Amino acid sequence: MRTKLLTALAALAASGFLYGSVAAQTNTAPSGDPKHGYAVYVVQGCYECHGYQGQGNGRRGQGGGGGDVGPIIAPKPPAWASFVKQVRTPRQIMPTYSTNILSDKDAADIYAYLLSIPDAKDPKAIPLLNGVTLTPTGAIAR
Amino acid sequence: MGKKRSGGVDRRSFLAGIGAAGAATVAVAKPGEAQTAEKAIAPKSAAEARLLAQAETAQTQSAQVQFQSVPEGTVRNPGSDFMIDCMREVGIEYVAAIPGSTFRGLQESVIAFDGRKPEWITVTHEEISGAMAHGYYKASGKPMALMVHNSVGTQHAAMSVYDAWADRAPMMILTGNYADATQRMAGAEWYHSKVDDAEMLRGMLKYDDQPASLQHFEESIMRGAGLMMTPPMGPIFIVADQKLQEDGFAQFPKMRKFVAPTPPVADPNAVAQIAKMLVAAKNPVIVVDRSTRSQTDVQNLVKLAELLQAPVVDKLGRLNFPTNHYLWSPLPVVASADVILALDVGDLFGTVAEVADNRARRTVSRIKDGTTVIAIDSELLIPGGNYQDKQRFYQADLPVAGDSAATLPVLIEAVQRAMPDARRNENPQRAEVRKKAWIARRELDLKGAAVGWDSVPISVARMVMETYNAIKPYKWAYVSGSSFQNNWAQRLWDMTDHGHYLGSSGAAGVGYTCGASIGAALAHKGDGTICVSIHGDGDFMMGPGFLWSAAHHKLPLLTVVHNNRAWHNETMFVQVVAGDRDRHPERGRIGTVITEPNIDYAKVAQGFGVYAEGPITQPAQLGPALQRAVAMVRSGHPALVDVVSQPR
Repeated sequence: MRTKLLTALAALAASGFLYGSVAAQTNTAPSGDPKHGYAVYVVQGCYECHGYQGQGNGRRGQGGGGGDVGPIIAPKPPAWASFVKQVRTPRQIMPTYSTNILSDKDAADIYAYLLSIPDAKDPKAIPLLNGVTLTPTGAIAR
Repeated sequence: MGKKRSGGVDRRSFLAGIGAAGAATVAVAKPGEAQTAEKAIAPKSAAEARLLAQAETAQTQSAQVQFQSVPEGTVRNPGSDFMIDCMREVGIEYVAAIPGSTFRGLQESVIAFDGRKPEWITVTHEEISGAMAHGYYKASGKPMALMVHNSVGTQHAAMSVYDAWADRAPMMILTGNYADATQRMAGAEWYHSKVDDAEMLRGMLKYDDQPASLQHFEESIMRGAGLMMTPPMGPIFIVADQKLQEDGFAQFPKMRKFVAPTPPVADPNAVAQIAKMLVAAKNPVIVVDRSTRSQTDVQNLVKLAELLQAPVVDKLGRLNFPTNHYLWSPLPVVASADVILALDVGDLFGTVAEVADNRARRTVSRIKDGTTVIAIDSELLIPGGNYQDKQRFYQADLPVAGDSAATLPVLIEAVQRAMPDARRNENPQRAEVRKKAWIARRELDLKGAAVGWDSVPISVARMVMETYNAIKPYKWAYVSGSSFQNNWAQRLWDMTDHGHYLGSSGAAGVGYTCGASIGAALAHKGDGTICVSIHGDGDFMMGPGFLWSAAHHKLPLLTVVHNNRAWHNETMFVQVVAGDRDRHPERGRIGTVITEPNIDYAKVAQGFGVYAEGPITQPAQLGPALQRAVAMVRSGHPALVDVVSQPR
């Protein structure tokens, strides 16, 4: 069981979709300039799939009915290593950014920008979201 | 029956008039018309007598009119009056058109009478006419007609016809032509003529004809209407010869009562087999797309899903399944299926596998080896050809020809019969699993929607939720596609009725929303429904004249412009290609963004006579602007709010 769990975690980490506390532990990003990072983020067109605040399609990871654009990448971006891997050799549909296009420093600045994005509000604190149905309909037909 | 402007009588009165005054009172004034005017039909056999007796039951509303005193040369009983009667008989209530001289006779026959169907709807482009008929059908379940100028208008309409074809939606397209070339004036009448008028559309039509007589026209309309409305539905194209339109006739042909065909139900033996496979499955999954046509169909689908406690993946060709039902599930659930039942799924291959958009273009399966795929599919009943709308072939384990909606009631009965108690007893446990999954997913979506909630430009999730907040106190219908808004509506709105969502264009043709949104609004005119279209700016610019038609005909449409100042999908595509080439992805914006200058959509709308606000750039301004716009729509006028928003 433990082996299976570790295998699953390793697969998730390799796929670049392991976020949150485990990701934070493995995050060894160089320091960057978030302000410059935002400028690069916009100029390089990262916002086009991930939104200006990294909100993407509202889902972490691909699929799940979230449309065909990029996933959430902030707040709490993926681990630095996964981030760089995805930028340089992307999985799924995403432009490849080589060092000819995006320097390591610019990548670090973008990452710093993503790290600087504060946590989203609790949906319960947003009236329009707090009113969304959380009790589904349905029954068992005979 | 509507009012006539001059001397009109109904058919009964007309016949009485014939008896009293004799045939001489029915004037056919133009010299030479005897060659084309049709004679009364006398039965030559018992069979023909029966056909004529059947025709007697039909009412011809454009009855031949008697005039007390008219100038010499006046055309009585123009053929186009009869043609319009034929359209009315098969249920056509509206005709959309920008005027064109090749159908001027038909136009005059529509507009000559107040308050009578079909009603004339004026549009500014034939592509809007076609998309309008498309949207009207999806909102009303009824077919609509459009008239297009020969050749030039047909070319304009072509893309919207293709969308409708790919979306399996009916529409009746008419054009005119002087088939007898010696009748054509020099110049435009030649440019606006073809030897084979339907040729440019034929790959996207269920039927076309070029009738040579009024009787032939009646038969073409009736045959075409039956084909058009039989699933899988599709556009038809009829050429109304101009001489037939504009000549007068001593007597119109008899017109039969139109009887719509019943839809094709799948083979009962196959249905019984499907039922056994479904009840034996450990993890059955139902996939739907263009699978329902009414709320009754939706309820049937709910019943089938609840019998099996099977998750339902709605590919959103229509609203097939309520989004707030715990069995509503996203596509990845197919990975867990051992049996998949696909009901009129337009792209079955794309359901069970995908070809990723990268250089390798490898096919990757979404489903496990050994998953059994059953497809009830009306697509098997129509041919494919030049256009590749049938998508990639997938060999289902049990392909069954038939219409899903019509088959659902018998499938439900078969499942009820086939289900043993032991299987039935598993349902509560299955239900609990699905309820938990549904709630977890919705909670995740709420968290996702909260990211960037107060951002500028306005987040797409916020735009969609502010819109919902403004319309949900009333009856509403979401009449545009939702994928470019990340399907936030399906993820967070309670979409419960078939009319709550109409699906998207069909063939991914940009410009669809312009016409389709006003077509849907026409279907809801006067019933209190707020039709809302979250309209991409790129699509909007394909046919902004739709707003003039909305204002002119007072259509209840709220247009929320998703103004990301780009043909954004293409921006992303070009960026990817640039990345593949180690060139600068940011140059993907060249030619794909709509800036410098930014378009002021509120001003554009105001120029068309539509109430409009914007550009709205601050999130806090959006809710109040939408409330004011909804108030305007409720008062019977269209409104627009331009929202400067995040790309997706």
